[in-house]
Amino acid sequence: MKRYECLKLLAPMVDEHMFAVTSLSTNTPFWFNVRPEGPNFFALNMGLCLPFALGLTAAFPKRKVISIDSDGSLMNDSSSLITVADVNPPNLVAFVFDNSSYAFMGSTFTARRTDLAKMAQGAGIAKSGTVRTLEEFSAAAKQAIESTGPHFIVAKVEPDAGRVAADRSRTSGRPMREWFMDAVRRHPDYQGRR
Amino acid sequence: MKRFDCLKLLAPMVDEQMLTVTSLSSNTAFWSDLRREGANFFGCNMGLCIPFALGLTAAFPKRKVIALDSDGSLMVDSSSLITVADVNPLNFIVIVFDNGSYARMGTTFTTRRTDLEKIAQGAGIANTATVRSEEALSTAVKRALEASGPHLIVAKVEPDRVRVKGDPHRTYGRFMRECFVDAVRRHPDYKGGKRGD
Repeated sequence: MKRYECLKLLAPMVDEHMFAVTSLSTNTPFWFNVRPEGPNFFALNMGLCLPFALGLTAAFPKRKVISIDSDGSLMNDSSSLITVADVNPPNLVAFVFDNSSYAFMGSTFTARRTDLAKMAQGAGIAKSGTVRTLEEFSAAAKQAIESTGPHFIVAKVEPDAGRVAADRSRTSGRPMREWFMDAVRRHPDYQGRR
Repeated sequence: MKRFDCLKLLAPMVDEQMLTVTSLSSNTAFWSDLRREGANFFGCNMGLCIPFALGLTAAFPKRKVIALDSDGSLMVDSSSLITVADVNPLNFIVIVFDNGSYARMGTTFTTRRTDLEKIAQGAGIANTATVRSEEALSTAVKRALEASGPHLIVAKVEPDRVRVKGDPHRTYGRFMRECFVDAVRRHPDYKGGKRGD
């Protein structure tokens, strides 16, 4: 299964008011290509994707928040799964694209003994599973977006063959953050600063 | 089940050449009373008990290394379980004393949805157990000392009612570290410092 194919399937399920957060991986350029508009926060550093998304679930409780994380990033701070389980946000849909490799720096632990879906279950996220085909991915994503969460979906994907270019001014640094803040301010649920 | 009773059971099973590491919790005070000699490193900060002990397993591959961790500490960095599973040290025994509370600051996640044993299994540690009685703990530790590891045992204990103060010199700071380094230097498996000290 290819990551880009999964994200292409996911994009039409995500409406304009849902939030999406991506990890620093090919998730970022791919997701930018399939969903350039709307409240997206791109390229969170290792370990920070799921915690950032968790904060958004509290700020926008009526909207689904989609965390598009990757295996290397999640394993940097797997304790965030415990926090997610404890906060138990009904509007969180967390995907982990598990290609079992650290970019071009060798394989990750999931290539050997580690099972992220099982860790999430242990942390206390009951709706947690692993998908290996596009059909399974599509069904799991649809079900997760339509039902009460938190959901945790590990999508086993191939390592990406090449690098993907994206507009860096939209996916990193201050311009990206300003796009995100603009989208938040224009969001119908935004209540203004406290 | 009480933590001190568990540690009293454990102490006679730990021979003088084994290495132990405790987390910053009542594990430290209790263990320092029970095992006064040998290579003990006390009071590792939150999240650091298992990683420190994992390093010792590599330095002393022929000896058992016992990490006496606690639930709050382990959950600061549960990713260390992934590293343990991947390194797969045969001489490693982790005992997590899970009292479901952060000292006197309220309950931890294990009183609600979190199952540490299941997280460890998910991380890839095959030999795990959760024990709720002293007999079960004793059996699990015996098995872990006899078979190759890594082993992780979650011991469900009551929160401690009274505060136990170990000897602060032996359980904290530079003097504790010097005692530990001395014990390491006197250890029969010690090969000398890499820089010749």
